[in-house]
Amino acid sequence: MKKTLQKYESVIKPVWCPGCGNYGILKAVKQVFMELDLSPENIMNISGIGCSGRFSHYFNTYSLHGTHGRALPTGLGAKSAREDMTVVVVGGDGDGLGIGGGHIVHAARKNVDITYILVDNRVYGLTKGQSSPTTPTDTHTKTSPYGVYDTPVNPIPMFITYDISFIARTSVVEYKRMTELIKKAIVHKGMSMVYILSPCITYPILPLKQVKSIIEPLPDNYPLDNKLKAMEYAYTQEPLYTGIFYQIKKTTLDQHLKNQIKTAHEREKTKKGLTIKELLKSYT
Amino acid sequence: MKKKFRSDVDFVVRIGGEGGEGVISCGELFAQAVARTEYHVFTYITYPAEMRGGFSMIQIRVRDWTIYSMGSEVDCLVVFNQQAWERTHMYLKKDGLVIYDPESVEIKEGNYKAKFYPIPLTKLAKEQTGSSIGKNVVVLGVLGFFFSISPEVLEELISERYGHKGQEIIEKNYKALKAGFKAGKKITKSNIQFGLEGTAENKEKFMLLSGNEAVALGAVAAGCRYVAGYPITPATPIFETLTKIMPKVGGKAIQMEDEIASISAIIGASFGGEKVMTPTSGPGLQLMGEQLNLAAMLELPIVIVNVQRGGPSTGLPTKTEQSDLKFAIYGTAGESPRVILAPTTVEDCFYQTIRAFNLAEEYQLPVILLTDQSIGYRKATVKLPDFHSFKKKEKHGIDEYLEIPSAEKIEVISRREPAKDEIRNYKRFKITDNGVSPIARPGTPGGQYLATGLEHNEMGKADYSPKNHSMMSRKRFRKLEMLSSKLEQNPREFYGSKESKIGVIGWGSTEGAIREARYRAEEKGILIRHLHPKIISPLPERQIRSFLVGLKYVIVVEENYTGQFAHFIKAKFGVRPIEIHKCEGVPISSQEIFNGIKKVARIADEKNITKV
Repeated sequence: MKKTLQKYESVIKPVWCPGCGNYGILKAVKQVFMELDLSPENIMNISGIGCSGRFSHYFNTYSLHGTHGRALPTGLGAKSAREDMTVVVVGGDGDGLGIGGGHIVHAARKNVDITYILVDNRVYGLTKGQSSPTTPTDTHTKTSPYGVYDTPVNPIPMFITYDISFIARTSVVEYKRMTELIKKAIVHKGMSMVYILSPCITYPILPLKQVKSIIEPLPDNYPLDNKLKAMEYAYTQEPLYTGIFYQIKKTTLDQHLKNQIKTAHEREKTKKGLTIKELLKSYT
Repeated sequence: MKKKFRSDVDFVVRIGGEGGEGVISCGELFAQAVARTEYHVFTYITYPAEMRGGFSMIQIRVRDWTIYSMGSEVDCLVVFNQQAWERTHMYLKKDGLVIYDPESVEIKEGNYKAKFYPIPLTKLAKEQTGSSIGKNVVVLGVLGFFFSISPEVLEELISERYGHKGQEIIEKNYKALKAGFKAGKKITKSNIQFGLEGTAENKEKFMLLSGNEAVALGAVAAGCRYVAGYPITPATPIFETLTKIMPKVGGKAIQMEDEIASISAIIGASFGGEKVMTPTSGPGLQLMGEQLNLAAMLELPIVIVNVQRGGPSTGLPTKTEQSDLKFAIYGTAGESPRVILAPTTVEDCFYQTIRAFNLAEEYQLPVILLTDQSIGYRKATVKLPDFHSFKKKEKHGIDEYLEIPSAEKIEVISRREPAKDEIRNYKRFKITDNGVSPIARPGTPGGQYLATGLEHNEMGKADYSPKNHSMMSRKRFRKLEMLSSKLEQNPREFYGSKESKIGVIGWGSTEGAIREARYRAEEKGILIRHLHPKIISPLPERQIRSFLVGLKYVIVVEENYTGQFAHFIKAKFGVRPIEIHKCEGVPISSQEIFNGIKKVARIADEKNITKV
């Protein structure tokens, strides 16, 4: 097993803190790639800035480590240009919910067929301990020495409102389940969101122990396409449910783009599309 | 009976009215009709930023030969309302003619020699179509009569433009058109002065394009099949055109949520191996700043079109200005290479866009195409290119002479991918003599690499060592040095006399106006040398220096307040240029430039100046 995982491993060694949950996520993603028998050259890994931004460095795939908050539209561009590729975008709570938070709803509206892994450690870890959009109120951090006064973002209800076609929550403390959910997300046709709680070892705003004690799988008979039900479970804080909250079938962006091309060709009564000559002549 | 193509045609028609009255569409239909009779056309449009109301105007210049500018005096003025008359009558030629609606325009007594033709436009429109909206088509009919354009040509254009609105609307418009012809006939029997009937034999076929459309078509011709954008005045028509035509050629044009997402998407698509572009205007380019640097750092080809508008801030969205030059060249945190191109005419928009893609792909960096509102919205006749000349270039141009695309020769450069032996132990950012290293296309086994915005080594791995940073900075800028030295081999981009003591430098859309000013100056015996580089950055230094040799006065003409290109020239070449600026939101005219040249010539007081 270990030997085959190596296929997806880059020569760059991770620089996360020892014991960080990100190691587990990295391994899980590689394992899913292997289980799905994906060739490394057919995978694109896109990430932004922060501890999560480093994910792209550690895969032997076509990997892009871009700017803060823009991993999602970059991944959208990659996938809509290359629908034959498997595109995985990784972001964190700062990258994905702070600076880049505005992009999620629009990627969801387009239902671009990518998997967005959002790793939440509730703190800006890489820059050494400032408050993030998910840091709980009253927490003392380096930029909130008198306590955070902002209300933290509650991502899952937000994602449900956005109508993302696959929404799951999991945590690094349940490795097996996390791996299964990532696999289902990548197999899902359309935008899939895997929100992972990965407590920070160095700035333990959300201690590992606490996560272990509050998480609980969604019930077996849980309906996948019921938004109201999903909201009810998503708002519940104790226990903190993990699993697939919502999954529906929707036309994907690449299908829309293909349909557009088909319609345009039909209108122009052409099979292969207009040549440049034909196009320019239509402007005489 | 076909009449002979006239070779003495040069006149200006201006139509003014309120936004929403159909002023622009009337002018555009007229321009299209003229283009179909195979005369050259050049239009200039101003319109308000609001949906309704405000002053709206279109000016159409018709000529039997290449047109360099919008023209300054109006031969035929059509005014829909009082405001249009008040704002345009001063441009009327002494012996011009005026068509106006007596119901809404009162011409006060004045010292006019022009001929006045009152035509009840609103009344006629109401009679024929039941609504005053049709008055622009009545005007089209009147113009059709005055310029001897056949009603069939105009009817065809009407059905092409309004066909989607249904047969009833078309019929109504035909009626309004006929009424216009009739009204024209009633007033004057014939008008030899402006007769345009008949088509020329052996003349090239023309497209009638706006600068914005020319950019969109140029992108398609260059092989671009992926565009992401966000609507922004005055660049929106590029994106609108692309959303329409991309699917027709099997491509994609995607509307994003903002400019940052747009440039991010094209970076992702370029990483995926596509030729990509995003159209925008100044405020949008500003938002793209960070991602522009990312593309430079990842050495990915992208093309950004900036249709400049009046700034700063929201500024004058529908007006023209050349004020984003410094931002385009220098606007960056840290230092990143980029190429800046500035097309000079509508036709040039088409070819410089192709060139922008070729340069982006060849040198693997962002290329910014700087146009402006006046060129973007201007419509002009563009010769259909020779399609046999379309070539996909297999061999890469960086080590040889790089052709400038033209109607006779269009070369399209494809991306340089690693060869089989380069894939083994593939180094995406390999240090090479010219700074360019092949890009592996995702899906290629063994070509996997990391593209990171962090400083990186040849493999793509993050590396902040002093040696590596200096080496990689050099690699990235080496590409600009290569380009600059290659530009030295290009034909000189300057015109006029070698003997002259006065040089005029301009960039972008002012080329035609400067050229006309030069012609006028030459008629007066003032010799002028005119430089108009199309690649603004990097500049071919030796070429510019050879332009400067022997000049006593250098005038830099531009449409901005601070003289951005003048500063650039000053800093690079140590000259102290005389600056002619116009910062009014409207293009500078050849008259204004000529006046400036006259002043300088007076100061120069040189022997070669006979009369001023």
